[in-house]
Amino acid sequence: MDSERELLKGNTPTLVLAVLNDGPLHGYGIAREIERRSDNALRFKEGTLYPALHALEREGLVTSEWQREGTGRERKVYCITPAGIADLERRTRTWNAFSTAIERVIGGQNDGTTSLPVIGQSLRPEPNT
Amino acid sequence: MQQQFSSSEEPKPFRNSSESNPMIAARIDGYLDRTCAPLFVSLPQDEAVQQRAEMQSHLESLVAAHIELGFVEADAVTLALEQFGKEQSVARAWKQECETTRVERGNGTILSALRPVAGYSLLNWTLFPLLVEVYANLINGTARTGARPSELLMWAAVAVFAGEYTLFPAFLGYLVGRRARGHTLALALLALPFTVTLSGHLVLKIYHSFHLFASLHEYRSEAPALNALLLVGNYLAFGAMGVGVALFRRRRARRLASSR
Repeated sequence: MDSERELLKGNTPTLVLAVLNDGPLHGYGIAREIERRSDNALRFKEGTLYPALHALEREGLVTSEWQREGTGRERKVYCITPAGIADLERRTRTWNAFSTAIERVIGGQNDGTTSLPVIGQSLRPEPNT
Repeated sequence: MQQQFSSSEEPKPFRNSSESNPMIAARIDGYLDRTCAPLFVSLPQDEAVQQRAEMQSHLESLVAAHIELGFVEADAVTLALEQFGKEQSVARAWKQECETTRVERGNGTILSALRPVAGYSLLNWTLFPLLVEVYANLINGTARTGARPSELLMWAAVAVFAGEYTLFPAFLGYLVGRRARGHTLALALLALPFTVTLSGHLVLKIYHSFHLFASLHEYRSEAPALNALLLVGNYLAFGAMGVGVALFRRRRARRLASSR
């Protein structure tokens, strides 16, 4: 359980960015949307969502603004920035490479005919030759 | 027990219910007070208040969702708090985030403080003394500083690195929570004596009270007691300004909190 929690915690920014990539949402909406998309498989402690959102905002990957709803209540709505979209693409590539590699190791599927990019090096620019 | 909510059917706000039930409101407030404690230590007051309000809004929606599923209010609050996370975990996550924020903002504040400080120092130690001298000549018929231009330039270079001018905008930047506002406030306060039309004597008195470095330099050999007085006066003035700004921010934060 701890490893699942750590895995989820480490990928919270990716999940948040992926959800916001489809449109602005407030914190509550982000949590519900992650649950909905994962068929309730991904459940995290929702209080920790806000430090993560704060970090994303500090890094310029999301912006936020207070909006008044029809009920008169104010909600802080988050929106992904162009830098956030670029970061999401980078995170997605890394995750795909990582999960494929793990799958191959666990399933023993690699017959040696195909090679995967090395995690951590796959996204580095090619050296000038 | 795990409950499922639909994102398309957001529950109505819980605020009215929590206001009608002080015990439930107190439980939510107590939880938020403990989890948001690191915010009020490290972040600007208004930002911390906003974060707390945002989390409160989320919690109220969770409580309302559980009530809609058929739970009584007390159980709904318990489940919502459970779903939000243990107090220690959320507080720890905020503490880590606040530490990073504080370091980044602190570094940024100090580094960016150097630019306006350098600009102000150049004005302060070259243009302003010349203007004051011209002004003193007009009022009194005598020169005030008698400094050569080369000396003025030397002091301009020294002042860039003088702690008072580097730290003052940075200090105010920390207090008001926005470094741009801190710089503006610092420059406004430091330049104030030159923008107010007062008698020549009063202008010089204000000038000296705000310019510790200049004051010490000019009075060092004349009156040691006055030096000490100016030194204490300067720091008292800085302290009073800091307390004033902090009180202002606290009042504004309370206003913000009560309006949400």
